[in-house]
Amino acid sequence: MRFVRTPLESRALLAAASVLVPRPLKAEWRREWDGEVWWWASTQPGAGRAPRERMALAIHCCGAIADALYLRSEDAAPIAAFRLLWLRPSSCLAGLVLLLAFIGAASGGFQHTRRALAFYRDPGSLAVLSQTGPFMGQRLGVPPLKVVYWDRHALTMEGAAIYSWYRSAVGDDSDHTEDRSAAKVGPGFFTLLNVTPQIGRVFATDDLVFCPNCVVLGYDFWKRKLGADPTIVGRTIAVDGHPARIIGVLRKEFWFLGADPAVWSLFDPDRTWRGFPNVITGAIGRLKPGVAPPAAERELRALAREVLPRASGAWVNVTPLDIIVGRPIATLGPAWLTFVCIAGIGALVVGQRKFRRSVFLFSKAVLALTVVLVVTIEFGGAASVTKTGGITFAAGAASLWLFLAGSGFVARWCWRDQCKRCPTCLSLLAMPVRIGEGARLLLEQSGTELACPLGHGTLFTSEGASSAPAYRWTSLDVSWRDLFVSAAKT
Amino acid sequence: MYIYRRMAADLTYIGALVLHAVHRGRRYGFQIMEVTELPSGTIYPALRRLEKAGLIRSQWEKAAVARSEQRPTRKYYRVTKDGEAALATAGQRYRLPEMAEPPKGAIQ
Repeated sequence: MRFVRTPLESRALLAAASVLVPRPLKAEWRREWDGEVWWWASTQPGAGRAPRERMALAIHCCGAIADALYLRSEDAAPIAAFRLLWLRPSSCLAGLVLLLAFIGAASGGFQHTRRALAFYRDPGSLAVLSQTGPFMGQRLGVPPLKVVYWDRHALTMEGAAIYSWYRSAVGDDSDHTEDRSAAKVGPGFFTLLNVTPQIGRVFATDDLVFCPNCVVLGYDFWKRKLGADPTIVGRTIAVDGHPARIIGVLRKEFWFLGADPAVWSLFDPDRTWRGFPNVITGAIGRLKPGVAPPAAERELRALAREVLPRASGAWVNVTPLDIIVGRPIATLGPAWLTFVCIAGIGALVVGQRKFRRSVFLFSKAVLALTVVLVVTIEFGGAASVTKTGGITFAAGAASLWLFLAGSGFVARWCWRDQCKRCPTCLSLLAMPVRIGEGARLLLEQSGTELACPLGHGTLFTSEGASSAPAYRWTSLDVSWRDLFVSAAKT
Repeated sequence: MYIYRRMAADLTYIGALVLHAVHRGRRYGFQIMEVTELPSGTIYPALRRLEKAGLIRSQWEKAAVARSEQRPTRKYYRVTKDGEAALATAGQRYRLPEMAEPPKGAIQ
């Protein structure tokens, strides 16, 4: 045989692909591909040594990976083993744990849950100022003029400042921008929160006059997009098409009500409000020592009447920041605990004193409820802030309803899943056979017989039933076991 | 057998093209690639699928022949009777390109 040396990269590709080929087919598969590659190399003008020919051969050998993957997918043994594994009860629990891990990764390591109790030095005296409308108690944004007036005249407060979230085009210059989360705040905002920056400074009271285009950067944006450049202060970036001078960068641990803006700029009530007519502004204030929120509410409402007499129907709310920050745990935590207790009682009843069955049902319910809780805390409030212009995160009415609806879904899923499991081994029943005329409802099992993949028995769901199908379990003896296991594998 | 017949009925255009190429005398992967201009990652899985469906059959050539020509042994494919029937059906569904018989002097 004429010796034709196959290039190294092509040999490596063939070797890597051959790992994927099922063992019984491997030798023949390699022989066929070696023959093809030899033919290709021997018919090329430069015997396959020229760079372009080598590249073409490497691309050709990439096809070996697709071929090997096809043969692997045709190999029934691992698929059958995976199918049996998928039906096991441990897979259900592992799936829920994986889902929790995925949510943790997607939410930046349960960011909102972790931050809920962090940062604020004295949250007791900080309060979010909001309005409730006279019609059905709907929540309203606070007009900027009121906040400015409260800041100057309120005797129960040390100060008040505006904040609002919006999407902004941020970049090195106006031609290279990207859509980022941003915030506009009053000049006294950071002073009220006692924020000390990582580098540079935060806004001062006179910045509205002397530095209206100044911005403060969020830590993440500074680190990821600007490479944590320590000399960034004084440079100019483009914000919404206008040049803005960077005066400081916030600390890594700074966080305010769930939002994480890339850029913080000044909210000028005289100019900004006209440019952003749809912005809902939130307001934050610091109560003077010893002042209770109801006293501040009374004063702020009286002041609001002075500045905007027409809008005097709205009720002013002063909600301490620690209540808002702790609200997810305070509201959803007890609800979660109650549902877990109900699940425990339900597991004991449904498990019919079978320890394994009860433990599985309880574990499944607790994990699923935890998934709903975490999703509500991590994403419910974030959606409220970013999509509906809400001023606080999590555990509002929408979050609570989301949690309750999710828990209802979990209860139904747990029960239906349990009904479709073998009472002996808790494997998910498989091999459905339709018997007679079922109800033919979407996703319903009526008129269907299912079998345990390990041959413990069969489950028949009564015909025609829809809302509450009747289940009839028939146990099978050991002699059926081999037949069912081999059937489940195919 | 039922599954094979269904696969013959569900022949895709790629499958039909590869089957057509084999029927027109292209007997191994590289020849089929040349005439169909499809990449190797498409051709070889298609050949496996067609073989599994019983539309083509593969056979290793005799080692003595390969030795006399100083090259490795090659796996040849040919169309079965089921494959010819499936190709006739596919010819009605798809417009398959004209393919000349391979030249006699070509490496076989």
